[in-house]
Amino acid sequence: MMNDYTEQFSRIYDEYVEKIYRFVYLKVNSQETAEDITSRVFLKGWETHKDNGGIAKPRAFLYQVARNMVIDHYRAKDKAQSVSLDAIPHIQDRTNIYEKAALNADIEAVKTALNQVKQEYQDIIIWHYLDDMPVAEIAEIIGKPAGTVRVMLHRGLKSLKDVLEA
Amino acid sequence: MQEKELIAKFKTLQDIKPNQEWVAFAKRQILQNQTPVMSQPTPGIFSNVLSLLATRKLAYAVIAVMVVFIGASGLLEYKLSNDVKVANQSAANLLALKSNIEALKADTESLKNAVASGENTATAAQKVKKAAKDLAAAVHSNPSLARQVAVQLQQNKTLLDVNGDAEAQAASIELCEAVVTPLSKDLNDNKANLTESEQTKLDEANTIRATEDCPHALEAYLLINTTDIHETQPIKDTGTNTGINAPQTQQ
Repeated sequence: MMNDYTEQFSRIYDEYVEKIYRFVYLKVNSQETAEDITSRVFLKGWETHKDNGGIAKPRAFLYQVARNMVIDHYRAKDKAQSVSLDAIPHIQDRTNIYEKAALNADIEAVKTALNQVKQEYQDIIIWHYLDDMPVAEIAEIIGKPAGTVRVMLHRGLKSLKDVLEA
Repeated sequence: MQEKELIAKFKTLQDIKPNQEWVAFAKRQILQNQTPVMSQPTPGIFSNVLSLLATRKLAYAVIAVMVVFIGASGLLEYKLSNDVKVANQSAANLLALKSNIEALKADTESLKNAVASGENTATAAQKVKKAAKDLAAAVHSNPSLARQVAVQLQQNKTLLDVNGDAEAQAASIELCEAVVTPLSKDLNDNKANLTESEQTKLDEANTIRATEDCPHALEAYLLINTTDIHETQPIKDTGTNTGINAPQTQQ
């Protein structure tokens, strides 16, 4: 039974670790912090998985936990939630540690633009456009109607576009 | 910039990926480091469950013992309390009985003196009447005292020999009847347990009682040995020198 749990969660980990890491990384702009938070997200997921005999909606659960941990991270460090342009060189310095990701100029531009968008839009834009999360699932995670999520996505995308075109 | 272009550009962020070494390491850390707790699931779970059960068992056992102890204590206390109450009640009844008999003795003596000296006997007679009625009431309320009173009346025959006042005499007879009635009933109910000679004595006593000679019937009933039938409750002298001796079982 316990081996089954391990195997199940192993699959969940393999399926979502990159997405959760990316989501967290885009929010904290630090590889070390992203790794730390992502580890804690999956540790929480593993404990929940064991205790409850599984997680009904692992993606929603993991994103929700990640979201809360990022908020806790900023609360703890009393950091500004928007990333200043000073962070870009730091990110660029770390590009060599990614095996597959080559953060080119476009990526940096988009990332920087995303960080300048309202916090409430950032999450849903990442979930919907990066991770292809359905509107209904996003609505469930943030506890808002699907219609509201669509409006937020539209406004968030427009805001992102405005930042990129500025 | 079109929305599709923007989205396409935005999707370039998918190239952000974690270090694969870290991914594998973190997975091991999360699963394997937690696995030791989980890798021995059977002993762990069983030991936890057993310890929980043991704790609960212990708690239940303690509670059960406490409940039993409290229940037993309560029951014992209740029983002792009732026994003490009964004993106290019995002692109180006996004391009241002694007091009533003493009062009757004193009042009867006063009435005798009043009759002898030609004084007004009304007050003394009233007192005798009251004392006799009180004693009769005591016997009525507790028929088991009948034999004790009967013995006292037998030993102090003057108590039933009240002259000089009709009402006092009536009260005296009433007292005698109050004593003889339960005494007679007790003996007749247990007649089968009596010896042949005792049964004969009982028949004689019943005959005497039929003649409405209560004092002699009382004497006749007391001549029957009934220790096997009815345990006599002695009126113990508490040292207050009441003048009442412990009753003797009639042979």
